[in-house]
Amino acid sequence: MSLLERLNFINNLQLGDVQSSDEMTVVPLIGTLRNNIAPPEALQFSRTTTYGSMEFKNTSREDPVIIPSHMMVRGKSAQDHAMSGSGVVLAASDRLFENACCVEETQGGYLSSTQTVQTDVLPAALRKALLDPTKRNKREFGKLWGGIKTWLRKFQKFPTVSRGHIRDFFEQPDYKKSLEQFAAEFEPVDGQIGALILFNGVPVGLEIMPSAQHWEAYWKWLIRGCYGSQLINMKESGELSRSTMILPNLTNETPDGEVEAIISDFVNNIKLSMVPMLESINISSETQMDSIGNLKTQLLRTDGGGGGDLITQDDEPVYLSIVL
Amino acid sequence: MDALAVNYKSKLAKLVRHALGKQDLYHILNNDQKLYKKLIGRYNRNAYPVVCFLFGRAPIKSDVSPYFPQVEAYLELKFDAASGDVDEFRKNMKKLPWRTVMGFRNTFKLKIEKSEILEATKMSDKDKLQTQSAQKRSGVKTVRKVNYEKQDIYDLWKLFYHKLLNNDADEMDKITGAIDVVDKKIPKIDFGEAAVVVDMSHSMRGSDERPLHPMLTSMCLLSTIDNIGSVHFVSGRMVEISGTPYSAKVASGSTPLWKGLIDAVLSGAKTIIVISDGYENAVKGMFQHVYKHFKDSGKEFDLLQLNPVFASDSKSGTARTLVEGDKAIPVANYKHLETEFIFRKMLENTELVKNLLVGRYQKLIGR
Repeated sequence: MSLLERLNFINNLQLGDVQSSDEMTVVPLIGTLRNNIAPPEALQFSRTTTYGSMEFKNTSREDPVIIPSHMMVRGKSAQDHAMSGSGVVLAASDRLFENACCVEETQGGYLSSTQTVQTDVLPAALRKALLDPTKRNKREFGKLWGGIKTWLRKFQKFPTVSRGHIRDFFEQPDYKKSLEQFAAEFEPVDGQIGALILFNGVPVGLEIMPSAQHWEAYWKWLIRGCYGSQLINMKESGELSRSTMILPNLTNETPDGEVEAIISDFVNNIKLSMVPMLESINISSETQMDSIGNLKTQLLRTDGGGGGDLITQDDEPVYLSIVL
Repeated sequence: MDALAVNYKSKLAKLVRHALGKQDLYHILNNDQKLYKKLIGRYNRNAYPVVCFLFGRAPIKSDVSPYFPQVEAYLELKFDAASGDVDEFRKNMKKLPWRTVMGFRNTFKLKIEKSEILEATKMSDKDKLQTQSAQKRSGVKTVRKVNYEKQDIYDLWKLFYHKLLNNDADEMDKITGAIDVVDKKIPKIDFGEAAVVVDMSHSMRGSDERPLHPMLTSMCLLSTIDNIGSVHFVSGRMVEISGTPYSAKVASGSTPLWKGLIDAVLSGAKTIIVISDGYENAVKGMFQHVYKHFKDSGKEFDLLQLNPVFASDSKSGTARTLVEGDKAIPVANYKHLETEFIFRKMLENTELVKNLLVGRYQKLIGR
């Protein structure tokens, strides 16, 4: 089954103008509010109670809240943690997720809501490592350490790193600066609820939030933490070649009045070329991971080894986060 | 001087400590008058009690002079607050600025309404403007009147957008009127007949620390530039206060700056000024592509990029630029446009810089 068929709301989405910077392209998905999900500010990270457990609070009295897939929380003097997938917390309640991952191998201590923490989403490659339902559900806090070390060793600055500390990358001043700059390169547009993300013209992620408010709150975590970090990783390891977009040909003979039309056509054609890409994403398997209240979480696997979470409310899709 | 010391006590203390160093400061505070005269007294020989005040030292009795009534009032009010004497506090607070009084109220948890403080304490026109919302929220009987025409244009735009985004039309007629008046008073810089492209994309909303700052600076820069033939806003969305004529573009969306450049070039202007943070994404490089095309096909125009954002890569003194080899001018404060232009474009725009310097000199000698 194609992903578009599975997401019956995709027909209500429109593609926004393409944003592109160096090797990364972001195609905004524009749509309207879907169902009854609490606003992002209702979600509060409370603490880690033991290694591998993350507790969240929903301050909304009316609606359930969604924890974005593979949300990562980093803080000083405590073991940094990341969710093994997405999560749902019902209205006015707390929920403990005991299958979370420690992402700072040799650091002790628990995170708490009183300390200053940085939040992001795990890099795309590490998210892929959590697509196996058995691994995801396993209560083993060190399950990502090996993956983190492998991922870190691809950077020129950490060729022989011996510890699974993801913050080694996120706190390294040069990479930190690159990520901030990267986040500034892309901007949410009016009504945007999601995006298709591509590296060198190849789709690497599809993200759809319940509302524009959610996108506004989480896009930086995704662009910086998930995709920006992955792009730097792939460029430094040589898995992704450096490239720039070939811009439309404008000659001395091009009439002044036609320049705008030529460029607009060029930009629209890029946009149109995304539709077959979206249509070609096929779901190879679907596993229910969670069911709470009127929300269900499915782990989708796509052809080619990608996958991610789909959350439905009363069987209507409200959230999708897929790495390809 | 004492008013400044009362208003900015901790900031000034930090500054003085940094300037003098701990050792010299220690000696001065221990009454080393020789050192005091050498380092501070030569600028103001009577300021010793104020220096003592900044560092919480009791001024030497004989030095407490009527020259510094604000310092005396501060110490008196602090005593009232510390002893919980609300009646005396209420009486004495009228002599001091509202921030200082509010600080004592909060620190000593005094049972006195915020509205009382906002109504009775000293406030500059700028304070009145900045506390308008707070005054209303606190429930004051009458919001203190502001002479808008005496305000800085940056503060007026800030208030305008604050009201616009909060759907509050109160006094908007006065604010927009004042913007027109103040705009006319601002000295203008003539770069020649100019078309201005203003980036109104999402990133121009600025940071959490200074929300809307790049956009507000852009609006102020429009008041600083003379001889504007046309203005081209790129992106942004219209926001209006329903049922009123008040509306404006607010930064939002992506950055197809190339569209603005085409419009500006086709307007025939000889100078194109682009106000942008330099983050182009729709798509990146298209601005330079269009610029190069028009230059290659013989269009004669000068491009000047003003960047109201100190980008992460601008610490070394440069701002993010849209066209390779054509450095943007960082202008974090609209008042610095002329100075920044003179220093950064001295070699490229010799004639214009010369004219600006002559203008400054003439102003200096009063011609």
